[in-house]
Amino acid sequence: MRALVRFLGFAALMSIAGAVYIRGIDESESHEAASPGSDIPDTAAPPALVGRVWAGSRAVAGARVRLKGHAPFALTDSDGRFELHDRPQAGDTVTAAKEGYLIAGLAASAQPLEIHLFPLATSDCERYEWLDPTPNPSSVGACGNCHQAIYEEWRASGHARSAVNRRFQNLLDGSDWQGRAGHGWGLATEYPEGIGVCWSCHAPSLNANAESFDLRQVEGVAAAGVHCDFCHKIRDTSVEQAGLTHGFFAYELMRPAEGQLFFGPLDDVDRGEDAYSHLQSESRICAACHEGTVFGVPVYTTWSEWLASPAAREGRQCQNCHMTPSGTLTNVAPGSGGIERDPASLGTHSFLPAGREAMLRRAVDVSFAGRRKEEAVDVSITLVLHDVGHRLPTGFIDRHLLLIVEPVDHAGEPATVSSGLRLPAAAGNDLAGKPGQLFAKLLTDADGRAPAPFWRAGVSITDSRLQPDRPESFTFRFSPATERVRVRIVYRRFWQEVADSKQWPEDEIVVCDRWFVLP
Amino acid sequence: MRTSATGATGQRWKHEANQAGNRPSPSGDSPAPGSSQRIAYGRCVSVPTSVAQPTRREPLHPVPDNRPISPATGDATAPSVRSRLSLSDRNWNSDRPQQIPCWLASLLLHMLAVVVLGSVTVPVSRQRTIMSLLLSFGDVTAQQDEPLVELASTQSLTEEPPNEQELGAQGFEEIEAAPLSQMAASLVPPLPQEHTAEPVPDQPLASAAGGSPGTAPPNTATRGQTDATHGEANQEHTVAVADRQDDEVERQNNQIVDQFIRFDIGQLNGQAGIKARDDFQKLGPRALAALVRGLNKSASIRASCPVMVITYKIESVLRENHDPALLQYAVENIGRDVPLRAPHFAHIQNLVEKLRLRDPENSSPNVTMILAQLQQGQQQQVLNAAEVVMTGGDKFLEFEKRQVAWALIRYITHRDPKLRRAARQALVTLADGTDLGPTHDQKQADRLEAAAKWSLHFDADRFEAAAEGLLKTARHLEDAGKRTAARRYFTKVVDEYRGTAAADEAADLLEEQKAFALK
Repeated sequence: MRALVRFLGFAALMSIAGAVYIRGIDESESHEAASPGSDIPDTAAPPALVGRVWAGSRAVAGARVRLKGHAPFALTDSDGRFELHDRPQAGDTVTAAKEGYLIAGLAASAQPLEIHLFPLATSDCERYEWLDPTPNPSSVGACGNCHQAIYEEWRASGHARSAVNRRFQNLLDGSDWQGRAGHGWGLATEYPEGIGVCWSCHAPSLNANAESFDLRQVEGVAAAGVHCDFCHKIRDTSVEQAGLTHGFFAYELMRPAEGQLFFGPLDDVDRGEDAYSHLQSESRICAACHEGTVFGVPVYTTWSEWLASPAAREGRQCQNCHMTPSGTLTNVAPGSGGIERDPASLGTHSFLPAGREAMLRRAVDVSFAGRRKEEAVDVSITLVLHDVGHRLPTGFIDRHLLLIVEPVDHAGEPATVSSGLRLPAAAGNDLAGKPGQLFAKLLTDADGRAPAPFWRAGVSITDSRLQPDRPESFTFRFSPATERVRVRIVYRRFWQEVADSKQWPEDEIVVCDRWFVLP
Repeated sequence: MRTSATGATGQRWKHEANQAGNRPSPSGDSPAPGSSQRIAYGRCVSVPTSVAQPTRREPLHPVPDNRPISPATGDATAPSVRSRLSLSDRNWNSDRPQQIPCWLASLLLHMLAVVVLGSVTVPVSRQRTIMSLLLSFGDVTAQQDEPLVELASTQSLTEEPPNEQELGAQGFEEIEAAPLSQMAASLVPPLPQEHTAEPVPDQPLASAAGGSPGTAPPNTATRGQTDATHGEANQEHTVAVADRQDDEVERQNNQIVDQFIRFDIGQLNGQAGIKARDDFQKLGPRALAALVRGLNKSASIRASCPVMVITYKIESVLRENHDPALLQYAVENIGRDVPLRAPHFAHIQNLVEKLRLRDPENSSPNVTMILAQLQQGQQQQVLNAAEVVMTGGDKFLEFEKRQVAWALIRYITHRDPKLRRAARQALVTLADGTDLGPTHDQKQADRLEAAAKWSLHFDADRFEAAAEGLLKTARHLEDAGKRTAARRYFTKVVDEYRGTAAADEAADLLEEQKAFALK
């Protein structure tokens, strides 16, 4: 009797829960489908294709429907109906996609044209084994096997080296370029408690159950850093705690217990293991790793910089600049089921499409104004960031820009500097004291030394980096003998003293090197 | 059963109840007229005392001679009046007060059964409470607190290979338990150790943990060889627990951890932040409770950095300190009040799981749990187990090493390279640095070869141990004057364990025996 009562109670609860769930879905779908017609091309011609999208016995509103590989798409209305005006050709497929469902497709010639969507699993499988991106004929799932071009783009990016980058590893263990211990800064040697903090962004597929969080021992797929499978397993992310909740922990992953599942911005990949996700086209997906307060220091602030930038106000996302289509890629998986697409629809995975140097040069505008007086030469140099969605430099806290101003007389000898800003010691022995300006987040440790590593910092942080669309002018006064002024802007990823102690190869980027002749 | 009694009122009560009479009369005949007033079936009938009662009731109707005699009464009669009784007449229990009530009898019988069953279980589990006794039933191994010495002698190697099984039938009553158990200790799988450290209540640790600080862990055979370690552990335990008597210290530790969290998430800057970090770094085992609370708090506010730093700190404290109370406290309290959907919940869960693997008595890994994890075969569990073996496998007793090694060897050929590597590293630890590969584990053939080598390596050890055990048994038989039995064992060792040192020694002893017999 008691069992019967329990059963009845359970059944009643399940009925109520089911009713609430169905009502919630209906409401959300009706909300999404509020204006489906607006995306349907307004044409007087009768539609070429008419159909409906279903999920089980329910019509799906707001699903994106298109002829596979074609640009125009339609959204289904509240009854799940769609109209396509593209004239299909033999063999064409109509695909339907909606977030939360697998992308599905049906031959355009099918009658009735009713596409059935299947919902995604609701739980993440922590035991999932990540796919290695490296091409490997013996491995069916290796990303590089089919997506060669994308793989090559990614491999050349910082994401591919985030865990095993040699400089990164040197900073982790306090070694130098040759791997000798005890050279310069080292997180593991100076602050061992913090060794486990890096993995969630630098090797996120190490995952929360890793046997070791020490990236000095990283291996396997985790060593591939921020790789294909990780980014395309992200279903959602929260930016409420951006900066506090790092990388892996901030993502809602959806790793399948069996088979495969990929999230991405293409909504017509109807293999049965892909799901449309707009997140991969939004800045939000970058926030978890590109905003991070570590050991009390805002080491990464690119997300918040973007939020405060004109780019964010204009709705431009990180991907607009950092995944700009290369224009050469037309097929994501040639010979492996991929179809020819508009190259403008396929973003690059190099994340610095034109290269770091070109992007930096494009980002900084330099203007020069010189005025010769009897007693001196006044020079004004203005820097302005152009079309940039964050401060410059951004990313890792040690990155900095140097404005170096060098006046010379008619014989080419350095002219005397009367006034103006001078470069600090952090600029390195060669440049310290020269006219110029440092653009950086400069950390000072408890003993007043700067720069300091972020795991030793705490007393003060000065942030002098350039801000988007906010010009900064610097005036200098030189001796009257000054004939020309050399203006250089140099980008460095690490402080000179650190690079010297680590014996790292030179890798500074000259963003600007111009001579201005005074009237 | 047939009873009669005279009531206080002078009435004579007569009851006839015959088990055979519960059945309808085979013939279905009615009782003789006139007798039904005095004779009742299963009920009490009052009759005047003046009425003469026959000392033995006459048959009411003819009964065949071959009717089975009621075992209870010896009476072959069986009243067949049931069909005549109305429902109102069937006052079944109205006469029971005059006898032992059947429910009481049933209760007594059940209690007796419980006592009998209990007496069977008590020797196995010597828990003092009935609950623990009941819980131990059916889960004997999990609650086992008997020294392995005794168990080994009573279980007589039943879990060992066939060639040792017959040892159990060789009249062990004539032999002292000790030598056999020594042998068994090297062969029988270890039983889980019951943790008897004093429970450490939640908060504050200071007041809670001081109950009986010096509680000694059970002296078990598996740990018998490390009594010195036990002594040290107890001493540390005592010191650590005694140190927690001061609530003020606990309060200060909490404050330090809280300040550190504020610093770590960027809410405490400058000198105060540096102080918070420095104070935190100085915390030791005494601050474990504060660290655990800090970890839970950090996870609750979804702050990755303090979660990882405090995790490292807790693991360090527990690695360096052998206080079982600390470990138990950590296992029981890590994750408390952390929401299930917190991003770091899986991380915390994994931490607890890893800590559980440590033997609470001396922080050496718990072999039983490791074996369970290896047998389950799930990737993360295997990796966890392997990691524990790598870090603490050198503390295993020899037979424990073999057991774990046997479980690990199968992962040498596993398709998952991560598991292969972990298994290999763990095996190297167990083999005291000997590495049998596979060096290049890309080929299955190499893996198989390596697995064979590992098997040989650890089987050889096992072989030696078994031979030594048999040899010891034979010697004791000989010492006890059981020369024939001893000779049988010597021969067994020589025949079945050729190549071992024990076999050589047994051969010598056999020769001596023969020589003695000839004399």
